[in-house]
Amino acid sequence: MYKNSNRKLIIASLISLLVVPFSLSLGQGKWNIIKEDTVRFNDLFTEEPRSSTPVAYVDTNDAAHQYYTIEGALKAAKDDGGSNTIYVIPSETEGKCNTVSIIHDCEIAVGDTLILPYSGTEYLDETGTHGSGFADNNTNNRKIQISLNQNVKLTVNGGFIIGGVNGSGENPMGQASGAYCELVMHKGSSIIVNGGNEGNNGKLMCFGFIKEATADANTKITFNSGSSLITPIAFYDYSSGTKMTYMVANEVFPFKQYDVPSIRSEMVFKHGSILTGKLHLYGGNVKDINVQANLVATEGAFLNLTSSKSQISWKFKDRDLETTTSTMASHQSIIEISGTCQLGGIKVSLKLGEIFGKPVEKDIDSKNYYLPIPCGFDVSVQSGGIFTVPSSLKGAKFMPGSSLTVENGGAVAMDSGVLFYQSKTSSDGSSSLDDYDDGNKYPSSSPATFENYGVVYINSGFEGVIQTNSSTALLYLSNNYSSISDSKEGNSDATYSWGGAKGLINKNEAISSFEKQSKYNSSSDHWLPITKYTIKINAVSYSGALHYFPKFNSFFTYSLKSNDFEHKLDDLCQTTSSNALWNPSTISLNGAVFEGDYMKIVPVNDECREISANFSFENWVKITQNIEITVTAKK
Amino acid sequence: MKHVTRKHILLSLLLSGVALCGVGFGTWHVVTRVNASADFSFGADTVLDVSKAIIVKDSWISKYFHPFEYNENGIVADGKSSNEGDLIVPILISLNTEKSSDGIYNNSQIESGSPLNFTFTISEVKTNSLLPHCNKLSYSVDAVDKIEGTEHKTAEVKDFTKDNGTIKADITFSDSNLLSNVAIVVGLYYHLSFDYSKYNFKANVFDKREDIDFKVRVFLNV
Repeated sequence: MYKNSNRKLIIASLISLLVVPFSLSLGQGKWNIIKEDTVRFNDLFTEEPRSSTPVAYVDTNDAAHQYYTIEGALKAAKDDGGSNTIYVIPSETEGKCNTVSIIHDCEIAVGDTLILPYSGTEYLDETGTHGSGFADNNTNNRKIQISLNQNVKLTVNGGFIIGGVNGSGENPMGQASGAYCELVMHKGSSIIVNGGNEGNNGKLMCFGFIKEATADANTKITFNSGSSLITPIAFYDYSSGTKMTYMVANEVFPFKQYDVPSIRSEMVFKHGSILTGKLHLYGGNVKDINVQANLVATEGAFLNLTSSKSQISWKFKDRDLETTTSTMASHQSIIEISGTCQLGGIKVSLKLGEIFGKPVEKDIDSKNYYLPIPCGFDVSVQSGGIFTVPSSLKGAKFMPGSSLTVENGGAVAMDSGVLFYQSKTSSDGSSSLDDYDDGNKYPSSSPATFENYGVVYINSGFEGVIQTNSSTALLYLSNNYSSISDSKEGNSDATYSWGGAKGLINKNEAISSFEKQSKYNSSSDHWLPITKYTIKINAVSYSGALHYFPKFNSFFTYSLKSNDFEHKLDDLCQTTSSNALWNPSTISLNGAVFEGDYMKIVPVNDECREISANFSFENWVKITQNIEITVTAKK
Repeated sequence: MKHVTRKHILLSLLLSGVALCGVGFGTWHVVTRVNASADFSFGADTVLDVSKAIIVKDSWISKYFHPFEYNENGIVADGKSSNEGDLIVPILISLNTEKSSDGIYNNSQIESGSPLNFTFTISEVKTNSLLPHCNKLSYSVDAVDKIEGTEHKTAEVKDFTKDNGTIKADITFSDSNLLSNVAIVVGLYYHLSFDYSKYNFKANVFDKREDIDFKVRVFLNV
């Protein structure tokens, strides 16, 4: 029994030994790998199923021209070769919204126009009054919501219209206030609006809203040369015709609360593109006032891009991603200027009333007034950018809650008057910004800020505090600099001024005034008057062991020479070793305060008794000068 | 008795050792290095974690394939109803298992020039509703330095067998530069056609899309 069993076992084992390696070598290769896995149908798709009812049509709303996807409708229109209109189908049911996703990159071809109508084929109503506040506070107003999915790119070579009913009967005015359509841009998605030949330029018109899906969506709409954007400019302080008449007579621009609130994605306007603000105001007597004003262009706009490589990034933010608040208190308009850009103006033609049944119209060009830069406008001049307030303007006033920042490498030239309002109250306390706003009081009391990390030239009137936190910024005040005393608000004669250009001049001193025909160099948070010094350093001999190099001040005499004084600094020098950094904590010099410069002492080697040092005064006295000193130490 | 038991023990240990080859690799059935030739050498301390050498489903790589779109009525192509489209099973192959934070796989240990032989078998687990409608099978293989920007070149599979919801195909792919790249991306394109007058897509697919499972078996021979 055992024998038999053993024999069988041995045979089986031998077979196993022969068969197993053979089976492992199947395929005659070096590696055989088998994997089994189970995948679900749904896992093979990254997107949700498409709509089961048509979402768009090309020209005619019948079965032959209807499509389940916007991408498909756009492709059909493009393949058609002619000029087609692609309509997305809106919900006609009260309180319902048609939602569609664009999941693939797509193009609106030259000659074609994609329209998101809020009803039928209607995409704009800018007459009469509709609702109040912003329409997106009531989603029953939303008739179409399109999602541009993550990383999807929409190229606009034709027209793209996002519909909305614009204009309410009270402040704010001009914005989408009734039925509207919305495009939601998901993370990394983008829209490129291209220019082209004459008559074939890409054009985006947003009368509804473009939103971002998340706070970090980082979406972008780029307007290349030749392309354009038309979207509402909202006014929050529209007054009656009578009040505006008074303000204009008082040489006050009648609007100081406005922004472009319909698009949340970052908009980049390249040189040659145009941003047009479409304004619908409504007055009880004068009825509709419809105005268009260019906000970005190469000339005649609020901001003029004057060189081929210049561009403006403009991003509107509010505290909530989905809804827009009716006051500017939580609004932010981040405007970044690259390349050369000139401040221009806003021209509006207003109906101020009626005489004998005929409207009294007044053309108002902001170049004749200090143009208000409203609360929430954070303007910055990027490295390489040059922003000019030209002499052809009366000037600009940065209102409370606004800011201008000149980044390192950027420059601002103020050739006409510029004010940074420090408060809402006039100099004599008799007038306030709040006195003249109908409905919306001026929403910020924070002083307008002006920070300079680059170069600023003040060649005209100026009011404000110039801040810095840099060691390289420069500030030049020409002989034409003066304070400003003619900025008024409302119909009051009271003026707004704060004593001209001020700043923290010299460390540890109170804020004080800059002088005309003077130059300043930043040093940390304060400004130093630039005076040209001659630097003289005398080396003296040292005898002693290198590692016991005594206090530096024993061996050097430093002197700074100006035209008429000499000040010895040797008592301020400190070092304890041959590799020490020399950090004069504070050097007082003829009333001025300097800090932050250093001397690094580098021994050639332990045996050598020579020590070389570079002493850079670049940030100190505004002359670039490296001085090498050599000390020969004797044993 | 004592003598016999020792033999039993020795043989049992031998067989147990062979049997243990397949243990510890999860769904992996066979992993072996048969011919350790000089031109395909790993360092002695190299540990090949084969569990990641083939990834049948990966949300990251599947973004680069575009299977048919559909709604409850059927397949949608260019925004219109269509009765045909490709169902794509994406497979990522990397014989080195390093996956960096940006999702790029490295297989720097593998020398180039080796042809790849694949055998794929796909079968529906329960519903058996889609694969019977497959009349064409094609594939794409791309060896890429970086997954982004991959351009898939699709080639039709000439010989494949189909048996009531199970499809099997053999593919041999040779590229002298293949294995010098970072990863190999394979897409299996199952071209499906439906006659909606006879086939209720909504009932068989759309409403069951949560339940349709495919069993995918990949045999890779390098």
